[in-house]
Amino acid sequence: CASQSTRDLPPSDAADVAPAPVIVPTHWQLSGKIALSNGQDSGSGRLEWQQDGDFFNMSLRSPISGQSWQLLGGPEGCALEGFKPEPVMASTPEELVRRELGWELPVGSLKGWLFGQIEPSATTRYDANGRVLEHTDDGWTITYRDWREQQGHWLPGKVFAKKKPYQVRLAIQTWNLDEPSPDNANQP
Amino acid sequence: GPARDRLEQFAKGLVTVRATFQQDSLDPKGQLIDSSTGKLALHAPRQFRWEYEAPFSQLIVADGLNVWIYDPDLEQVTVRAQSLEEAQSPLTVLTDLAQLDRDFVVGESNADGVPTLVLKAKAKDPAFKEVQIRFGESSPSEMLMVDLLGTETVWRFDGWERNPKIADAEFAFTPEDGIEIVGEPLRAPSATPLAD
Repeated sequence: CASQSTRDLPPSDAADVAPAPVIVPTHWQLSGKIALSNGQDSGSGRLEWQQDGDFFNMSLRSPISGQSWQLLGGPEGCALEGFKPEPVMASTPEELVRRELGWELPVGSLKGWLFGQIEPSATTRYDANGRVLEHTDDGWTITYRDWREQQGHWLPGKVFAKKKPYQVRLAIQTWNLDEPSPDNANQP
Repeated sequence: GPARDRLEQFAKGLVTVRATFQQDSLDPKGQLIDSSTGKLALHAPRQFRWEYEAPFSQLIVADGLNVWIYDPDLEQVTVRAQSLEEAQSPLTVLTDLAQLDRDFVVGESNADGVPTLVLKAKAKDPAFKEVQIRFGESSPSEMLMVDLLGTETVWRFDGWERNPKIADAEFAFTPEDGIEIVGEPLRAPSATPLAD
């Protein structure tokens, strides 16, 4: 992507700071908490997300109800297990979550947002080290908190994305950027 | 049955109660997925405070009208009408026997000699297959819930303290500013509307 030089950015608190380079790993795991909401209601719980190249495996568990769902798949399609007695399928996770649970979960975009991979724009704000603080992309406003360095990457502690009336809030307790895992996430 | 008698004996004369809990989640093969600990406080008949302390903090407060689910890490609180919430989760069953019979089909079992209440939610498509509540001599020892995927969640209670003094504020929740509020809290019918 054509990286916009910071001179064209309007004066913001970090105007003279060049955005820090972002390399998005292809194999990683995170564990933490996620909340999806549509303004009226919210589903939240523990999240384990494993990404192996194009294959993802997300397990969500609500501590209160003890309920657990598994959202897994890859380029050929994905499945949601645990919501209904039988797994339900769709071509994209976004479509599946929207259709079955009524939430918006932009898994595709999140994969990049999680690492601060964004198309810099006039509204992008950075911290003093050039890591993105806030950014808007395709109607979503994404805010970052608690950047920390690990395994040679800068990783956020919290990522909140909002696109009225929807929200996706992630608090990441542990990151793990490992080599490709031997067995790929099972395909649907 | 013996389990029902123990529940009624537990609920009799109970205004407030405290306890600690350990919550374990087991996968269908019985493997421990994770466990968390916390403490609970109940105020009969329908108020409760359920505080997860480790590994993640989370607070659930039912003030009798609304259930507030607050997550400090996500900086968000979700508020739902308590009546809706209750049909799905058995937390107030311990102190609100009317809710027990209204929302659940109640059976009994005596697995390995422990008097156990077996609850099946009457709700149309309940989030869980079954809830069991096992009783010790004078109080519930365990609550167990199995969801559609076969994940089992077990709460082990300990340190029951009957009728301790608990400030009303513990059964209320007011979000600090900056906290994202999801959902509309039900207003108490008797609350006078704010003058515009």
